[in-house]
Amino acid sequence: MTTPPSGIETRILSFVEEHFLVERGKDFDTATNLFEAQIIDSFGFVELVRFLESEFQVTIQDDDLLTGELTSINSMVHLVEKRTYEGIHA
Amino acid sequence: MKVSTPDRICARCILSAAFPGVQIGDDGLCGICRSAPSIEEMGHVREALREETKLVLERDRGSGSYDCLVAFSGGKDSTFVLQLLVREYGLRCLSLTVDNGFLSEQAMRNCRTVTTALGVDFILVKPSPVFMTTMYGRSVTTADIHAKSAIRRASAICNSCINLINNIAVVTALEKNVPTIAGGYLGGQVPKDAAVIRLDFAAHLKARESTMKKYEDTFGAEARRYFGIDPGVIERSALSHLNVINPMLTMDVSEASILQSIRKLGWTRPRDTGKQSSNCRLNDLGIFIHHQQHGFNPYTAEIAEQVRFGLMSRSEGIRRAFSVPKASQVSTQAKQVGVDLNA
Repeated sequence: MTTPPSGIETRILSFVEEHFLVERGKDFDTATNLFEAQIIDSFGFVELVRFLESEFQVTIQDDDLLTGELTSINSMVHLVEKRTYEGIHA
Repeated sequence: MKVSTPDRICARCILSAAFPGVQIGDDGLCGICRSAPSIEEMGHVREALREETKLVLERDRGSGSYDCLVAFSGGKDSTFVLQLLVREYGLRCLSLTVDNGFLSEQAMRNCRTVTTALGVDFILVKPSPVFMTTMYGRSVTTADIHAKSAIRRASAICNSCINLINNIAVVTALEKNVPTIAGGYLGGQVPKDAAVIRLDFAAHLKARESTMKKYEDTFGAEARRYFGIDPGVIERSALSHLNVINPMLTMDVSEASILQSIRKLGWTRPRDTGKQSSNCRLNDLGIFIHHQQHGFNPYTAEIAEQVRFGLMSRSEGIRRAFSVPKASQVSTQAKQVGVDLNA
């Protein structure tokens, strides 16, 4: 059974498709490493971080890309959920 | 130049459906303008970005051999930025020019004149012309050399050159322990989020890994010398991160005002750089090929942003955005970088 996308996933997907001119299912899926696939470059990384921080009111840390938490839609959703939880329970 | 205006363009800026991701709604607006702030609101946004820029500069002022390294092309915008940082912000600036082999002689004279007038140290880096012509030629003949979304910012030629210059600037800043790099990019060329960026080296290198491999595969192993950062340079540097600023994103200033200001430094407009550039003789070739491949002028987003926020008239924006060089005007440059315009 397929789990329906969360609101977070839907919003991130919408941003990625619109800003990076790609289409889910055709150019990437939610597990695709968007950097390895050259969908996001270094300028795009700046835009992505600012989007996630302003859209979800979370803080993205320097290590998040290095630890693989910003590379795919799935990992971004997980990161936002984690940071949101940390923010609520701080 | 030939001018061909689409039937339907945005009522506020000048974007048309030819621009990727744009649709003109029933209200006559593109999606960007529909959600964009008003001119007045944008003024407040820029003011906040200026304050953020000043805070970053003040925090690190005096910590290095220079306060700021300016990527200085000799063109009007980077000249304006250099002047701003030296005279208004009072920074100790190091200007860095990369001679890509196609800089106008007048642009080189402007580099010397302006750095003399402002009393700043000036470094000129000239990469191998063999590598540069290979890079430019293969940038336009290799599909997907850049991320797909990069076509909205600049031509393939310019995207390669920008990445190369940015990397040389980062390496130079690391070697000389300069905490901040400044560029002369305008809105539309870079996202407004790029007004003030904190560059973490490890994350930066990670984000560029795939691009680096693509460049090596396309341009040859030498690409690493120009686009890579030796880990030893990072280890030896006293810097833990770099600030990257683009002061033009914080300013409400028209081209006419910029030109009026920098002419007082002795800056003279080159006559051989085409309509969109004030330093590079290869620029028109990039525009021509980009238009052939993608159906729009690569400067469209930058021009649209200027029109959107009242820094350029709509008629001027339309004229510039929908003017494209003719093949006859770029054939010499095409031969120089090994591109067959008839292919």
